[in-house]
Amino acid sequence: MNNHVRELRGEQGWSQADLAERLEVSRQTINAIETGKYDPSLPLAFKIAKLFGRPIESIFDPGE
Amino acid sequence: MNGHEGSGANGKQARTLARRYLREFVPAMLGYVILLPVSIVLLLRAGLPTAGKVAVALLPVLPMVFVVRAMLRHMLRQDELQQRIELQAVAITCAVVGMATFSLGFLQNVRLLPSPPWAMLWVLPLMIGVYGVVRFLLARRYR
Repeated sequence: MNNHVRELRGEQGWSQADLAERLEVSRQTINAIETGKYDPSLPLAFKIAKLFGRPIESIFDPGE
Repeated sequence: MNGHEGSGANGKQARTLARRYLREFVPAMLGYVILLPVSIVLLLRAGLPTAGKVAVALLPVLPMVFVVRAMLRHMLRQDELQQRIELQAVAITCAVVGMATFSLGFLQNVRLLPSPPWAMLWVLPLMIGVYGVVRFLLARRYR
């Protein structure tokens, strides 16, 4: 799955640690999501979407 | 703007979880370190009845229960990715240690390997050691 978490985080001027703290997950999890090595669970994906104020489909793309 | 910030799970949350874990783990491990020699000395010197020997021999197990409890509580406090890594690490550890001790048991059964009475004591340290290595390798996959 592809995602735009890194770009959205950058727009806010947040570090990975900042985003991790806001989502109550580890920085490793944020890094793994941004590098495509881990797909978040549905609750976490919705939390991310709510934090950035975007629809979930605009952030996560199922890809090929 | 910040980009990729390297490996590791450092951060406020990780430090908070680590502090909670150490608050539970350290006293329990200290209890083990203290009770182990006490148990050994009592078993060697005191003329204990069988029931007493059992109780004294099992003394070091009490603090280890709290060590294992601290490890489990730490695992359950982790976020979803960390818990996935923990689950995989524990599953692989059980498979590796289980198969190793299973195989050794067969060899001991036909006397191809010695069966020292203290052998069973090494199963838990072996599990903890294998778990540590496996967890480290699994976590690297997500960096």
